[in-house]
Amino acid sequence: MAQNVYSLNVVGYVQLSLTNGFNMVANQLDFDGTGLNNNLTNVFGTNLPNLTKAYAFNPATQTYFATATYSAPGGGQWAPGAAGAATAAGLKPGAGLWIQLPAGQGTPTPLTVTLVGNVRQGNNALSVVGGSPKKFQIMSLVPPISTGIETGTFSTGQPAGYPAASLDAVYFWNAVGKAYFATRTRTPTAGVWQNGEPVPAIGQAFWLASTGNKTWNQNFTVP
Amino acid sequence: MKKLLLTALVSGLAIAAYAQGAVGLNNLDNPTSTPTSTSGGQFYLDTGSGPVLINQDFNAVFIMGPASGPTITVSFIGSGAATDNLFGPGTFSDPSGNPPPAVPGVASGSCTMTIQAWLGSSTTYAGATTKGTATFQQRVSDSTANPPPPAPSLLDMPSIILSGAAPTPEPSTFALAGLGAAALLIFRRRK
Repeated sequence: MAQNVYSLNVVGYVQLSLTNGFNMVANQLDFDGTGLNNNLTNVFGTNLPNLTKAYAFNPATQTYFATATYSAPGGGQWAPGAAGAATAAGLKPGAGLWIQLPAGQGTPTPLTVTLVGNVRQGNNALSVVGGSPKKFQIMSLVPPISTGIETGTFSTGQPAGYPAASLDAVYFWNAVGKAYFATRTRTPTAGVWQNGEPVPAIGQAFWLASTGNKTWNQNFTVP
Repeated sequence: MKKLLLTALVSGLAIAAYAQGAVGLNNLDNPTSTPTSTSGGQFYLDTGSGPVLINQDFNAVFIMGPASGPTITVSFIGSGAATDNLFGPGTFSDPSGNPPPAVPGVASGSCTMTIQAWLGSSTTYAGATTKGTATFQQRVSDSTANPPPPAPSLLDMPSIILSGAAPTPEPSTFALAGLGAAALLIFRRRK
């Protein structure tokens, strides 16, 4: 006898607008709901131009993982394979990575790439490394929502909740202008940032330079 | 420190920002220093009783470039408000909201930087009485790196002490004092 099966998954899509050169992007959808399979092939499919490169940053070592390069003629593979696997760290919701389009791609018209997956629900405890001098990581908001990282909310009663400390800094990359925007630095006053509280756009990752180790709990449930 | 700007003036060469190293005009990553620090420095004020971390508005000009020009100059001159003392005594952080300036002719490594800082309403360093300056090698972001890193802050700046001689009395002041002394002598003799 057949039974009704209900799925609690919330599936969505995000369209990334990529331009020529470097783009700092976030994958805010979990490929299959397990959190384990957000790799370059699954997330981007075959939608990127040949010779696109991906760079993911390792906060623990403060260095980049090996660069992964996309080969369209090779059947849509990322090479070397080990680099592709390591770069997956930057595709976890809450993280981010660089995508470099080769010359001539994404210009003058941006290249639109559609990411599909599950909206992560519940608490996501993100480790933030920090110290003096500050340590860097590429981060993003976990759900595909644009809001202030410290005082913003995903929805009523669900704060973005970045536990900011004085002198924490956020750097946004201007993919079109090929330069960083003005640095946003947290003042000693809660919720007040020089140049404004960071509000990442959907699909946008950013550098976070933290003055101390902490855990950033991003708790979101679809209302 | 804190300086606020009335004018955020950028002069120099008009060059594309890409492929040029940039510098974040703030010393917020220099949390501790002494007045004699040769790097990781902060701004101090010495009014005659020794240098202390400056805790008032001041003017600052940053001149950057390769060892032998050209240079770009970024100025923060005038009384400010919004970000004054925002990060505590001894600090400066570019209040303009502009991206970190790109340094012409320096794609990576270090540039030569001169910082001029002074108190008061003078619009020039030369015209100020309480002031301090330093020239040093400042690291820039590596514009040739893939991916491009954020611009470093003023990690290489030495401590800068703003100081100046006590105001010199004008000749008319001396004349007035002389007249007063003479009048006193005459008054005493008559007694």
